[in-house]
Amino acid sequence: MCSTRYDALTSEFPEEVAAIQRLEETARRFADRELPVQRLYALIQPSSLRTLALIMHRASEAGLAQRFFRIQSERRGGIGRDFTTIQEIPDEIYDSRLGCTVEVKAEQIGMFFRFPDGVQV
Amino acid sequence: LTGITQVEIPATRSPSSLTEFKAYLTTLTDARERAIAEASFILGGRAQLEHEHVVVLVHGINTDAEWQEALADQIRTECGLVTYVIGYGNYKPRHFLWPYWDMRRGPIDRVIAQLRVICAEKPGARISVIAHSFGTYIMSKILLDCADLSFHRIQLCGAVVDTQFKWESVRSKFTQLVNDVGTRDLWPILAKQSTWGYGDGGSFGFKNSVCRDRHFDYAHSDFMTPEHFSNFWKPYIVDGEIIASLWTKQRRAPGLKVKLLRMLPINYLLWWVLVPAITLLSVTCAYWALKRLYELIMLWRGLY
Repeated sequence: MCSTRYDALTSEFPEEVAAIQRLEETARRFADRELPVQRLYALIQPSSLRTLALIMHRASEAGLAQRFFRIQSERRGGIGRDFTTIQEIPDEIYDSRLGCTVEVKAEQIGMFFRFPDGVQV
Repeated sequence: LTGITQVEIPATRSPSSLTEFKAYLTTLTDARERAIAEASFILGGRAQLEHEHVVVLVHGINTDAEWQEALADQIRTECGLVTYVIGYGNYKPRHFLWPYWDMRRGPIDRVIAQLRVICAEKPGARISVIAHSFGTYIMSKILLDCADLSFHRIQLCGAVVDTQFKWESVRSKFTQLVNDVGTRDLWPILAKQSTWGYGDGGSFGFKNSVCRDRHFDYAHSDFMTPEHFSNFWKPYIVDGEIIASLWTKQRRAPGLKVKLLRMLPINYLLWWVLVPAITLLSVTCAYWALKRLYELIMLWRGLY
């Protein structure tokens, strides 16, 4: 079932067949787990970041992956809820790990992907 | 990929650039353009391929360390990291206890050699280490002696390194250091009390500013479980997140047995009393045997 959806990705990005195969394998191995975009990039090795963004955008649209943003506390660990776009992220947030409201810095924002039905791939 | 304009992203992610970037996103109408822009923004405007992260497992003494392969498999499966299992044979307790330093040099040199091979095979890779028991002693020596080896994250457990070890003097050799302490672990105390050169950091912690101690209600080898790895080591090794252990706050002061053990100078008893006594006994026995032999020879000569 899901392989067909990955086939659709392959047909859309024919030059990235190997990367999409690695994405499929990554989705299987990391089913229901979160991967930061940096690690995903390292694992699937697309030709460029631009390509990765497009593949993952399509994968998200097809329901193969979920993209979200998380604010990381300066004391490590995520704070607040997860956000679906950067535009949703507030300028200030309460950091429960620090016990105070902090201004959200760009460096604190992480992009993550989750593969919800990776086991069925 | 056609139809998408090249998105220009701020080169740096200064604190003020989040607001600017959010404003910039509102100007992009195509969802694909926004996806590219957001990914580029997170990665600082360019693709930053993560350095490969390698995890090395170093075992203790008197064991074939079956836990290494199981843990390595778990790290590969759950974290997608490259793992190396490092060994130096089934190192016997008598070698471990022998205070003559060259007996310990062999395993240290073997681990150094293997680490250098990994560095050569994975140039630029970040190397994290999980070391247990005598493996922690080996790591402390490597940090002191090897200028060419540095590490990403170091996870110690069952450590037999002295609590006086100056971790701050080797601070530049690693990114993070966590010491998991087993409050029921008597082996580090025995190692410290039985010979010279070891310490009980695995039983009490190092209490050092560059090393984070975590206490558990564990004995010496209770750390090597899939649950402990998933709950404590995985977040640390993969993301540098140090999950606190509740036992660190709940633990009580050491009991009488531990206090007595810490006071007992086993090394002096062993090496200054027992070993000389055994030596004296051996010499006496040899003298007696030679004397008896001499008497027999003389008797034999007298007969013939």
